[in-house]
Amino acid sequence: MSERKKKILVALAGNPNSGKSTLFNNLTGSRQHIGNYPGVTVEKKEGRVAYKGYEVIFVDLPGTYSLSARSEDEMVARNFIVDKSPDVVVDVVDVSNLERNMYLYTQLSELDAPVILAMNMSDMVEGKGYTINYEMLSKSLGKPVVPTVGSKNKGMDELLEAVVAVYEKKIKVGKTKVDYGLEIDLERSKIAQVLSKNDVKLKGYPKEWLTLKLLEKDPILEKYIQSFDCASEIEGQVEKSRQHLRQHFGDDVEVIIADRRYGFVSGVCMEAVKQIPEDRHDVSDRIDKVIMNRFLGLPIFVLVMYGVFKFTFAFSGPVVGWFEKFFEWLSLVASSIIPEGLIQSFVVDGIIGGVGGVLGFFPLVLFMFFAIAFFEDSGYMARAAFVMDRIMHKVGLHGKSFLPMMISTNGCAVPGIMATRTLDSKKDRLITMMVTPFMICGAKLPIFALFIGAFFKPEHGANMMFLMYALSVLIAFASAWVLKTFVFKGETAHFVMELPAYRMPTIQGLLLKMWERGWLYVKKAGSVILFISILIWAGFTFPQSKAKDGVSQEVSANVQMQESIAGKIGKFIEPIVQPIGMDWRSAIALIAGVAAKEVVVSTLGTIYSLGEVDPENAEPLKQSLQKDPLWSPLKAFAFLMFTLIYLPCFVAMAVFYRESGSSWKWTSFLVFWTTVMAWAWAFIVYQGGTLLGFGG
Amino acid sequence: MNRLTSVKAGKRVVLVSIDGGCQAEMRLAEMGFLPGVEIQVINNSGIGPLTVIIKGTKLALGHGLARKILVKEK
Repeated sequence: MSERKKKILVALAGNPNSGKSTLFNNLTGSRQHIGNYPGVTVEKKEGRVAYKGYEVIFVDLPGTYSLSARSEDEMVARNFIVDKSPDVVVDVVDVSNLERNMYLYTQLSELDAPVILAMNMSDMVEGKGYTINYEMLSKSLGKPVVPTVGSKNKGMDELLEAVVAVYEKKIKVGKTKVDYGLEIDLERSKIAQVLSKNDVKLKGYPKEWLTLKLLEKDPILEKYIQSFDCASEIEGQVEKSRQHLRQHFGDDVEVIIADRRYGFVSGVCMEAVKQIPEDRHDVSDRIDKVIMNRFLGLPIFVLVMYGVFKFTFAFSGPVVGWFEKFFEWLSLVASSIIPEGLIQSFVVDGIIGGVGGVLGFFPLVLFMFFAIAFFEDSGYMARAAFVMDRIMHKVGLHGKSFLPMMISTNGCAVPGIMATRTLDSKKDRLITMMVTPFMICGAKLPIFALFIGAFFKPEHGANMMFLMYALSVLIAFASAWVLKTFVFKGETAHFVMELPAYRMPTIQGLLLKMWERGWLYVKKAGSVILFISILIWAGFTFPQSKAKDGVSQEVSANVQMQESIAGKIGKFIEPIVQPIGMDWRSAIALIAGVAAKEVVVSTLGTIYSLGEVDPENAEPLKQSLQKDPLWSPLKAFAFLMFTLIYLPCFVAMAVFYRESGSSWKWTSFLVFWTTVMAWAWAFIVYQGGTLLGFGG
Repeated sequence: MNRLTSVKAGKRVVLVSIDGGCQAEMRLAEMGFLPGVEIQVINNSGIGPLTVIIKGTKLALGHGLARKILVKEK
């Protein structure tokens, strides 16, 4: 029994929108470790499943069209296959889009990876009156082919069976390769000669593939080659070959090579596929005519986002109320069980006051994630990026940069920053990374919900939230413009992006997505937020000031807070934040919020809970804020403005640092830029508002 | 020969070549923009991006990029 299971490492590769993630979820079930949260690499998900005495480890690679490694996500996918040499590579192919999907396959097979083809969405074909002969396909490629339907969980056992069979070498994986023609092969052999003469070997890279990639001027390989003494000799041969081929074909080598690959694919498809119908874009086309219309596109997008917030606030309102009541009741119970003193304060003010405040907004976060997941899964997001392209061109970016910003809105800036990996241009990528954290992520959401709930009428909740969202987009665009004009000068890059056919999202898929992202919120509340809440509580509780006679309990509670360590720090900073309408307490909350944005809420929760003397009259944080004469709607607005713009949380900054190529320069620029901007805008809002008579 | 940007919505054209000196040429080739391939223009408002169908996939194409794609009538 103690015998350890043999492991099979399987990489899942495939185009974006090929249904790879659904397949991954089906295969690994609840045993998956999702990396999509702060602190864990987002680049690839890993999941395990036990099958036939093996432990099969699936790694979900980023979805790519190619392995040319010209963008970061392609590099991640390719490096995994080369460096980790997985036992099996499952190439997930969307059969309703066979030719394009098979392009990636040609590159996988050139890497000599043991490929299995998962022909996904095979049910789409049956309804459309054309057939794919999987057996013939398998024979002409020399690779196992398994039809699957990810959305209906079909073909998973067959896929696992094939994985095991390939691993046990019961099925031989053949080598059929693209025929690049005599002319190209001749030049490749010349390059190969130079390589072998100088004994150049690169671990994991087959030599044939090396020659092809060098011809294509692969950016990674060109860098590797530099480490060899014979670098100039190799480069010389490559340049000679490229020139010769350009003369011969009248076109760049890259184009000829891509052409040959597509030629190979269409040859294979012609044999195995009967009649590809052309009208499969009908319904999508009609919807797109409206949604992507040059005049209607933008208003529709605005309406969609407004709908998301309306939905979120309308449905989550009552549930958030129940959660508030529950935590109110919980602190009452805790104060009646635990005798008065430090321990009671620790539990009631530190833990329940802090973490409870954050968890209270859990339903809101869930509803929001659900609503945006709907648009994500339906295929609308790519259209939104298209619609935004024209505006984004004005600020020097293009439509594709809008997707990372949407990812940040639906969850977290960390995967948003990671998603910039799909951008080809380095400058565009840096700018997009700098502006993505301005979006209102899941962690900032409770701050906005708290203040909007406290200072604006409930019926205006969704409107205010929408306004704040629109502001975040505006600020991101304005910053991008400034960065592009003054810091990263240069031409705007252009984009090509797939517009996937619309799909009706499945309830199961939406709930899963909502839960995955929502659960991270709870987990974070129970770990990071809890830890920091305890620190904050301790900061306000120690050192203990001596109780003075003759003052009310309320006064002495306030004196205690002001004389504590945290209080002293807050008082020290107060002069800086006073011009923007804040006091020492909000200053502490904002500083603590750099650890994780939810902490702004938990810290305020602890502060107000500590200030309350009579546990019998404990009230939700929202009401405490309303009653506090030091707050006003204008101050709340300035506070939110600051929150919107200031420093990304610690994890987001760490990811920014790594993704910017470990650049201290850009990371410090980000810190400086966001802090100054946040202060300036809050100043304009507060002082301007006061001048106009909105203060008080 | 025309530029793709001047093709009206609904028309089908054949790709002839891509203007040289274009960084995105490789990316375009990988997405199937190769000489001789048919491109169906779905949406072209004259300004801003275009939508086209190529090799069975609908793609959004930035305006500047579409300008560099030379096509001829089918």
